[in-house]
Amino acid sequence: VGITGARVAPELYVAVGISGSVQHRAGMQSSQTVVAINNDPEAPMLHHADLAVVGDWHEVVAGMLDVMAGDGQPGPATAHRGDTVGAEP
Amino acid sequence: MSNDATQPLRVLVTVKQVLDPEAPPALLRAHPDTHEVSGRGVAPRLDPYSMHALQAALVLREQCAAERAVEIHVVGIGPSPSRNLYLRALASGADRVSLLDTASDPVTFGDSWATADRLARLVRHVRPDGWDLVLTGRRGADTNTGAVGAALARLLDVPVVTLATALRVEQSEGGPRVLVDQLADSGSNLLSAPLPAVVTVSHEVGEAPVVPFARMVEAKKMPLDILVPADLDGTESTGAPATTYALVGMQERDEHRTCELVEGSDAREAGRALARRLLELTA
Repeated sequence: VGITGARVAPELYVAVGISGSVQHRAGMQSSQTVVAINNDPEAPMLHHADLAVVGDWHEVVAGMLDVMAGDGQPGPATAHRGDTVGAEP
Repeated sequence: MSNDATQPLRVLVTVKQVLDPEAPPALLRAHPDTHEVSGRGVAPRLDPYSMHALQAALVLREQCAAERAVEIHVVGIGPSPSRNLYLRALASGADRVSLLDTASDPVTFGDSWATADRLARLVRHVRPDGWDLVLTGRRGADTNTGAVGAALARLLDVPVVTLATALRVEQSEGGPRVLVDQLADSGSNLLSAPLPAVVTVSHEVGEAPVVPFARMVEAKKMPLDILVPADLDGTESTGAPATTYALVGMQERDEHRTCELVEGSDAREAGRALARRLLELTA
């Protein structure tokens, strides 16, 4: 996603571990709700998100999956490197 | 042009200086009066897209090592280029850098034909005996036109192949050719063009690696020339207009979002809180 890739405008855009360079944001800035997950509190993406969590994405995404699995309790779901659907241009 | 494979392959790489594209955009300001973009505290750097072109040249040198030398000559244009920044190109493996300082005769932001005109004349000036290959990035990180490589090829009257993910040079009966893997929507094309040619390089080749500081110090002894427009007065005109358009206005897009930071006792709990908050928002 970005200037050299796809331009998208979904209802929900989740930027996992994406720093938020100008090149990347050009491809997604029309998204309705933007969520940023990054372990760097200074990542530019956080300035362009509606909701953000600062932390290790493996854990944060696993927590999201806990809730989506139904009960908000720790479940078997664990995020692994390679699960991401987007990448920096 | 040199068809003799015992002679060095003469490669030119266009390298541009830009404001760091990874800088927080909140620091960037558009100035509609002067048609410039400035960045408070934002350091200039060599364009990452240009660094892909330089990397392609370095890879080509490795590939050709057994057969012939590869001369890498970096060229660039822009207002008041920083000598120190371009040392990195020399430290990375370029043999020479020639820059045209356009401070006294600026090119309109994003005017690709005007940029290609200056580059074409710079190439002719610094390589009066010819050259084999010009490599450019696929676009500029600041202007984002992606048109200069093709315009440069037109003005130099040579073939252009765009969006190379890999390239190599081969001898054929008719002379040397460049073979290019070209990025396509769902795969790649293999294209071949006679040299001399222009190839624009995509980011799949990677950036030229960061070099040790000691190499940067050594690079200070290497040739780095900064020319001014008057130095090109003697070169043949490209026939392109010096300016093809006027920039009449620019404005910043309002991309501000108010960010709500979601926290938890640990990262996993923060992730759960984030998911619950998203469900609330969409309820």
